Amino acid sequence: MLISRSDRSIIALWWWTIDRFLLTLFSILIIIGIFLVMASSQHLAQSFNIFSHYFTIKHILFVIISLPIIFIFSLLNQKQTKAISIIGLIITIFLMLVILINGNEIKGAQRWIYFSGFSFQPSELCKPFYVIVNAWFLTLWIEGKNFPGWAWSIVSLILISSLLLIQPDVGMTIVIILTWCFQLFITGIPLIIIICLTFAVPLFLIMTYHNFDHVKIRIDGFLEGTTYQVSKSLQSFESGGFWGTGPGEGFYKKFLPDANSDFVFAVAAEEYGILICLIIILIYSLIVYRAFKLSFINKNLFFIIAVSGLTFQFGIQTLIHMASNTNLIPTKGMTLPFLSYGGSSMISSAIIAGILLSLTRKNISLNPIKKQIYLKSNNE
Amino acid sequence: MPNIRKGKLFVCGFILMASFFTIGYRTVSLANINKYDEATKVIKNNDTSSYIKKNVARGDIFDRNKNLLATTIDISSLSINPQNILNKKETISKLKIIFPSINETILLKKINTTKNQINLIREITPKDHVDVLKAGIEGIVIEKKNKRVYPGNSLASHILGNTDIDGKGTAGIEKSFDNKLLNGQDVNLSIHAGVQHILKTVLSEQISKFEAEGGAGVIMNVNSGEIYALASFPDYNANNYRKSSDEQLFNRASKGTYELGSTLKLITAAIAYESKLIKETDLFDVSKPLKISSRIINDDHALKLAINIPEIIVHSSNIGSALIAEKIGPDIQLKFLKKLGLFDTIKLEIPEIGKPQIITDKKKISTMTISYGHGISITPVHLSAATASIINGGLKVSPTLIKNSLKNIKKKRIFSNNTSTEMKNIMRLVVSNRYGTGKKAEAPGYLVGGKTGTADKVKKSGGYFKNKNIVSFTGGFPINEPKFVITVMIDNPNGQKFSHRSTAGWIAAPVISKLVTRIAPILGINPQTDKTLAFTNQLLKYKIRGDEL
Repeated sequence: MLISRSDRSIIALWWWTIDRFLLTLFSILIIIGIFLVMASSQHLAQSFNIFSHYFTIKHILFVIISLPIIFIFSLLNQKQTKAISIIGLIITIFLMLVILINGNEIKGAQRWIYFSGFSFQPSELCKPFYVIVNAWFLTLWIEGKNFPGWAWSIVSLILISSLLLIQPDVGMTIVIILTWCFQLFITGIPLIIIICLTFAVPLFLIMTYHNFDHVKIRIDGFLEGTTYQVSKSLQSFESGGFWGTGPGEGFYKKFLPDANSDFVFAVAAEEYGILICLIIILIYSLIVYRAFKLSFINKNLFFIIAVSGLTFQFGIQTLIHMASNTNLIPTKGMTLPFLSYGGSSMISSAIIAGILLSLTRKNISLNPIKKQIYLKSNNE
Repeated sequence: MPNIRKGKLFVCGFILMASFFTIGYRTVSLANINKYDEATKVIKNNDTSSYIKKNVARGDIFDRNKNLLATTIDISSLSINPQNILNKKETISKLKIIFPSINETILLKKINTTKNQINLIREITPKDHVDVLKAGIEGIVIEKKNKRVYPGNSLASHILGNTDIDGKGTAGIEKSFDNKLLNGQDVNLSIHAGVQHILKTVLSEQISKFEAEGGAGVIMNVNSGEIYALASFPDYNANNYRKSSDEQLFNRASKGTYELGSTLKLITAAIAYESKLIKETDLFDVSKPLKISSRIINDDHALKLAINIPEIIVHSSNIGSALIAEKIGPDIQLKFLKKLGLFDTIKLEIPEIGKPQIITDKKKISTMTISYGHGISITPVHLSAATASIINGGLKVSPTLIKNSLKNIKKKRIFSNNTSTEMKNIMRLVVSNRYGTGKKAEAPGYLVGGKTGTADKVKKSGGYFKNKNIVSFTGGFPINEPKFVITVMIDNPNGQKFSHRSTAGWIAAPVISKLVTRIAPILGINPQTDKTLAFTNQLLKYKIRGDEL
């Protein structure tokens, strides 16, 4: 290895303390993502009459932006992470409010904000920050520091999910609420609340079914098995077979709306075959496994709630994407972290990865006494 | 508390992992990796240009005489660009005059988008096309699109299959030759449109006459294995694929497997001759029902005699057949069935092919029931191939739907020429002898030979229906020098007043008679009087006994 163990520079410290297993998995995902966007967006670019690698190049640009984001976030310590998350959350909530008043509508949803030629979705960025902030609230509550953490947690959840529902972004709301439930469950709550929640979730789903036309159409479509996108998505899997039709040779992807974001898994299946799909699934499950294992052996409460919460959110988003591509659940426009085209999704994934890497760094759990001995021995 | 937390983490982690596993499993099952059988693989390998060229019209499908079975025509398709419409109401009212079926309110909703194109009507007539242009409607876009058309309607629908709206083959020849067709190459089938038409007409008449659930028929060249006609009922109009029921789409000739009953006694007899374990003089006592471990094997009309192999076949004796099988033993029996291809999925060039089911536990009772066609489920195409091997001199036949496709393949020998000659004689006796079960298959002027089969229908839940049966006939003509093998199967016919019972002799055999008299002339097979006489005379050496009628 080029970096020596005795090197004390920031990069060397970073390299020796980072969880290189997770880092490798994230890097593989990013590389696969470039190839997938290359395959899935060419047709789209042609239909817009623009340069056929337009989206690929834009995606590579996003990758270039997200690499430093991962690096910077992974350099933070726990305190800095908390601080950045709370600031980030406040900014994104503010931006979401701005959209409400002055937003751009894409496909019936107001969730985009424009500045200097780029558009982005604040709600994507709010996801990882909220997990950290919520973990912080819950930790303060359990550690009994005279802080009504549970109240803050509930209020912030209601604020964010109602902002998301107004846009409307039902998928993101479901992810955020599920993650919140998960964190609460891990923290430890009375049984009665768990029971209430198990009743509240179906109630929420029934309400959205009746109040949001597009949700109703999709659920009806799922139950009757008549959704157009899904039939094309399923045909993609069949036509791909084990080895796939080859990059750019896909046939059904041309009929998949949002092939490069919400149906990227189906495109992967058609063009690169089931083999790559299984590899992708394996990588995601390894990430989830690794992060869960790390929080399993850690004793710091904030660490457990934050890391497992982030991982849960990451995993559940992946699962919803794959399950709706394979028609196991009704279609839900959900991006696949790192693999889907889209700047907001890419940056949000990068933040998740960065925070996960920062929290799981080895020196963070180094206790002060050991640290002193360590520093002394270095000075001598 | 920390331990509870660990437990919760473990459970949640486990659920996430299990979900990932489920999705992995689902992906694999969606891709259905084993979907291609060897036949389609062969076709794929031979097809060097799997690369799909754009703007090439899909290839046509022809029968063996270059009659068109499937082709692609241009149609005009109407769509509209909402961004180019200035006056929406006027546009809609103009459209409404030409297309009265348009719903104005829905269309108005559709037009109010930011999209650049909305499809209105997939197929418009040339007259409508002219009217639309004359009316000067804003924003209309007329595109040339392709449409797959099957001029024969239901003629060969089960063979041809279908394409989806994007022009990709979804069933039948359209699916297995998709690459070739997409590249604009034509496919020439072995099907003879005339023979196919006759088979469909005659078979459907008989099915409706006897109020049967369905049926299937195969007419095949005994030497080359080229299928001249293949029909399945209930059928459907190939131009109306999407509106057809699963029942109609199901190919009973090549995909449906059935216990075809006594027709399989031919195979038992052929094995008996070939194995030389049974001498011509050997007699089997069929006067008493056989009792094998709680099961009883019976004959419809028990003969009070000990009879030889030709008599067993002519009388269609289950007891006799079971006794032959007992003497041959399971090993030899299964070896020959495997050689005949009755263990394997038939290698036909369409995706709709069935895998036979056969009891291979080698128990005495299984060996015996298999000998008369129970405990073995095969497709009518399987039976045709087996019959062809028995009467063509003993060579293995691989059925094909493609013209001239298997000419140069060296054929494996299964039966000797002597066995084949003996079997042809016996098959003729089934039709010509006064005790024969297939007398109604006689077609004047043409020597027809074959075997009837009446089997109890198998329930899906297991066991047999008491009063439902499947009748079948398999045979060849002219049996002295066989050229074609005909197999028909009729599913659950109801006996009518004019026929005493719903047996194959009454229901399936007449179909053969009608078919032979009608297809022989167009296949260039003349009635042979001199050779017929010689063949009939040498049959006199068989003495078929029976109860006095």
